[in-house]
Order: sequence, then structure tokens, then C-alpha cells
Amino acid sequence: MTDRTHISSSVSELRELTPNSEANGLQTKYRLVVLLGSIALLFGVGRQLLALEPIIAGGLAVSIGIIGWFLPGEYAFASGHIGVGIALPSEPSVVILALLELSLWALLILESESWQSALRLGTLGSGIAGLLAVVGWAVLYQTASLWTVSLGSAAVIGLALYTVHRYEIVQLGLVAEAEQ
Amino acid sequence: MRPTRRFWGTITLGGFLSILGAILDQPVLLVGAAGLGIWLLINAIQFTRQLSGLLDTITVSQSSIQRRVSVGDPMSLTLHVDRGSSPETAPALPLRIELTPPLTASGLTEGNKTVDLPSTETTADRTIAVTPKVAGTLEFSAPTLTTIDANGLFTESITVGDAVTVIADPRSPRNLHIGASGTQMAAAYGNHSIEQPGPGLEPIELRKYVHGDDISRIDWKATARLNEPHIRKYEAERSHETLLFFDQRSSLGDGNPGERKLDYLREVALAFVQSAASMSDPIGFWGVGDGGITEQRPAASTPAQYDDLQELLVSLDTVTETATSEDDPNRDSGVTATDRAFAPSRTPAEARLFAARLDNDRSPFAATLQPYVAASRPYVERVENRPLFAALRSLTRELSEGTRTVFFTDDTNKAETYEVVQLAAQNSASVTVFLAPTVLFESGGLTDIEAAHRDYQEFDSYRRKLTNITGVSAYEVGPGHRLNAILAKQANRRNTRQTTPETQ
Repeated sequence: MTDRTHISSSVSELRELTPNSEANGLQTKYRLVVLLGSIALLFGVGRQLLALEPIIAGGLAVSIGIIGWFLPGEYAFASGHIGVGIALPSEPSVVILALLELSLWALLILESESWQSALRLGTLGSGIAGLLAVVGWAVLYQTASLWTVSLGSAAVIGLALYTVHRYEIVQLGLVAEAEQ
Repeated sequence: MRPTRRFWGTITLGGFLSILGAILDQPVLLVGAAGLGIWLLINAIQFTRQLSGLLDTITVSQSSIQRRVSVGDPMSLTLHVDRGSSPETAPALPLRIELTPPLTASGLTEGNKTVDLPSTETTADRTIAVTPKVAGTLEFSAPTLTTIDANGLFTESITVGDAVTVIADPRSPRNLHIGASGTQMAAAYGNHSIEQPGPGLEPIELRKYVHGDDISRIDWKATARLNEPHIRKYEAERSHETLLFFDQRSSLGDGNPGERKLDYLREVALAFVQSAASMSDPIGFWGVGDGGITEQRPAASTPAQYDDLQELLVSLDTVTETATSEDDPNRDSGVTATDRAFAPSRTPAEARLFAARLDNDRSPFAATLQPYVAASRPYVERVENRPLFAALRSLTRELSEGTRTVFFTDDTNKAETYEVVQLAAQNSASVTVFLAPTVLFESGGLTDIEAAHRDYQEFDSYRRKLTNITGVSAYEVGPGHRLNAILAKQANRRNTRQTTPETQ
């Protein structure tokens, strides 16, 4: 098997072999539409329902737009949450929260290479998020501090990632190589 | 599944959001952190599914037409990749298939040992020339497939396909031809009876007992059957002593590495040693280089002698410097560089004919040459100082009427070889000469087939001349494919001659 250093050096070269590698995800025109739509949704909601100052809403929109355009989607997703966290009242309604999350997820889905993939990603993500939210989050939020919620979420996701990793090793017959 | 830098970047982002959310008491930041974690998770699941599907359909094969190749000769290795049919809904993964060459092969670089298959393509082929550097087994391990998920979060490397093994043979004589005038020799040595009665195992005659016969020789079964005492006579058998004289002078180094005159003659000499070992015949060896005797092994029939000679022959090489043997009788025999440079290439008769022609020739060219002919030293004196002749003359006492003398040399020093063979024939039971024709070992192949054909004819007439000496057999040794090319030219010429009159 090829050594890890060699693999990491060839990651960028391999990325070049993917379709739409130039746009790094969906094609540019769709990317622009999705990005502007999500920002409009995010700060239109914020402007109307959260009573943000226009200058704050505009500044956040521009910042997220720039980050979302030049950096991978996860950075726009994270910065969007920070912006919302700053602007959001301490007790937001579930509807508002759902709308905000929907627009931020749209930024993340920009990374998908096709609409079919994006749809699958969105469906799968919604399922997992819903499960996590309904089963764990509500209970933990009511009974423990945010630190506990934070660590608990990290542990659950870490465990899930490791489970998928082990499943992949067994499924592809790479157990012996992994042990080496 | 190995995480990339982007994966770790996302994890860091998620961790940052999580801690910030806890510090600022903002649950929405924790929602963001969980979202990033979920995003990683669904990418991992998707990548695993894609990989699993890919391995079900992909075909990666590497193959080589050749199973054996000589060291230094290029061989071709072909890599074929076919990702097969994948479901429409699942986007194809970009693939990089990398060959894993052995360290002992050259020709594979970072650039040509990998084949990239973009997501949009289904098949790829590549043929690479690989050259083994050392002899042995070349094992091309199964290729390594490397891929990455669509978002660049995970990579995976998997070994796919089968390994290919190729044997790299050391460069050695190929298509060895031993024969005369292009005809392959059936057998040069074998069981040796002397066709005379004597003690032995093969019965040749049954005769009546006569007074004086040894009673122990009575064949009692024949006596009982014939009612008269009979004696069975057996064919006498004896061991043959063989002395090998191997010319190691610089001209024996002609030819490509591993396929030199010396390498071809070595194969024949090894066969003699093996034959002697199988019959427990005594065998000896004398090597002669440019400076005189280089190796000497008096005849013996011990297993150690056979092993020693085999080892000696395998490591035998040309010797161009002065004699290396401490007890070389020719060390101070007066063989000078000039003697070697002006080695006699004519027999005495030819030399006399040449001088007579010059006497009758009044041209300026003849006038220029005459002083050289007049000032030359006597022929016998010059030949006597030549290494092979000097070596044989010093060893004539080793030869006997039962000795079979075998020479391994080339056609470079024709006059000397002729005199040596004559001398050996006078002192041995038989002489066998194995000659490597220079024309079959020219570097660069047979570029001028006409000239090669002429040279071969000249060689063959010289070989026949040696055969005309009583008790002498002379054979040519060399690469058969080159000889066949020359003989094919000869055959074409004959055919042309035959067809030309018909057309006229």
C-alpha cells in the first residue's frame, strides 16, 4: 500500500479529476443562486423577525457571502451560525431556528457535485439531524448545561464516524492492512 | 478511509463553534457544530457506499507478454483499468491506479507508473517499458487504487488486481550453435569404447576355450548350453584423459556482454567437464591469456577436480594483462607487445607466396612493403613466442597417445592456432578445436550481410583446413541466429543463380 505522505500529496491532484472541480461543487451559476438565496433567506428572516439593525444584517450578509464564495461551504456554514448566534435572541422560536438552519444547510450543500447528490445529502442529513435533535438534544437541553450538550454531541458524532470507518474497513476487506 | 486536511479543518471548525456556543451560552452555535459533524458523517457514509459499489464493478489488470526476460532487455507491462457500470445516481469517484514495481527494475517513474481515471471516464490503458537491472524474480505487486470522496474529506487506498511475476535471466549465450559449415553437430562426445577386446562389460564375442586361456574367463552358461568350454570376450573400455586449452586473450571478449566468444565457448567447455564427471574421466584445464598461462589444473578424475573446473569456468574471463600464474613458464619467454601486435596471421606457405609476389611486383606499393618482409623474423620464431603455442609446447610432456586435447579459441590468430593444433595432433590421440568465428560476434549485429558472408566463408575454409590435419576435428561455436542469417543469404544467392538461367 502507498504510504500516507504520498497519498496526502496526491489528494489535490485527485481532486482535479472530479467533475466541476473548478467550481468546487455545483456549477457556478447554481452556486451563485443558492448562495444569494440562502443569504437573503437568512437575513431577510433576521431583518424582519429578529429586528436586526440594517447595517448589522447587511454586514453579516456581505461577510457570509464573501466567505461562502471564496472558501469551502463549511466555513460559510460556521460563520453563518456565528452571525446568527450574535444576532439571535436568547429564546428563538423553533420555526425561526428551522428557517435559519435551512438556509445555512443550503450553503453546505453547495459543495455537492450534483443535484442528485445534494438531494441525497440533504435527506440523509435531515434524518440524522432530526434524530439527533429529537432524541438527544431536547433531553440534554432540559437537564444539563451547554457544556454537557457540546461534549455529548461531539461524542455521539465521533462514535458514529468511527463506526462508519470500521464498517468501511470490514466491508472492503481491509482489516489486515488497517492492523498493519 | 483516511481523513484529509479538509476533514480536520471541518472538525476544528465544529469544535470551535461548540466551545464558543458553550461559552456564549448560544445553543444555535452548538446546532452549527452538530451540523458540521452530521455533514462529515453523511459524507463518510456516502463515500463508503461508493467505494463498495466501485469494488464490485471495477477491473484492474496488469500483464506482461513476456514471462522471461534477459537482464538489460526491456519488457512491456500493460495496465488496464475498467471501472465497469455504476448506478446512474451514484457519482463516479476519481481514481488513481499506481503500479508497484520491484526495486530491481528501472524505467518506471512517478509520471508513468500511475494511471489517472477521472470521474467522467470509464476505462484507461497504459503500457510501460520496464528493464530489469539484476537477475532474479521480478514481482510487480498488485496495483494500488487511490481515490477521494467528492468533497475531498476522505481518501482510501486499496490493493486491486493480481501480481505479475517475470523471471529476469542473466545475460548468457542464447541459441548456441556448435557445428561445421552451418550444420549443427549431433554429438561431440559420449560413451567411448576403443573397439578392441579387453576387460569390460559389453560382450562382443563368444569363442571356444583354447589351452592357455584364463579359466576364470570361461562363460559357464554358454559352456553348459554348447557342451564345450567357451570363453566370452568383452569389449575393452578405458577412461579418456581430456585436456582443455582455453584461450582467454582479449579477442575472446568480442561480442555483447554475456554473449561474447568466451561465453559461448565456456558453455561447450562446461559440457566437457560435466561429461567427464559423468564418466569419471580424468580432465585437466589450461587457460592462456595475452601474457601466457593464467590457469592450470593437471588432469584428475576426482569429484573435487570436476567441481573446481566448473567453478573456474563459470568465473572465467578474458585476461589481457601479463601472466598471473606464479609458475607461468612463459613469464619471461620474451613475448613482447610488438610480438602480440604483429601476431602472424599467415602460415609459412602463405608468407612465402606473399614474399614471392612482392619480388615480382615492381610497383611503389610493393617496394614499400618489401623491407618489412625482408626484415621480419623467422616465422617459427614468431609463432613460438605466441602465448598459446608457448603454453602447449611447455606442456607437451603432459600429452600422451591416449589424451584427447580440446582447444577453445577464435579465428583471430589463425597461423598460431594452426601450428598449435598441428603440434597437439602429433602428441595426442585426438584434437578437437572449437572456434568462435569473429564474424558472428561483431558488435551492432550483421549490418553488412555481404561482408559477413565473405568473412564466414573465409572462416569456414580455415576450419576445414584444420580438419584436414590428421586426428583433428574443428567446429564452429556461436550464436545460431546470426549464423542462420548469414546462411540464409548464401541460400538466397544459390536460388538466384539457379533461377537466372531459367529466366534467360
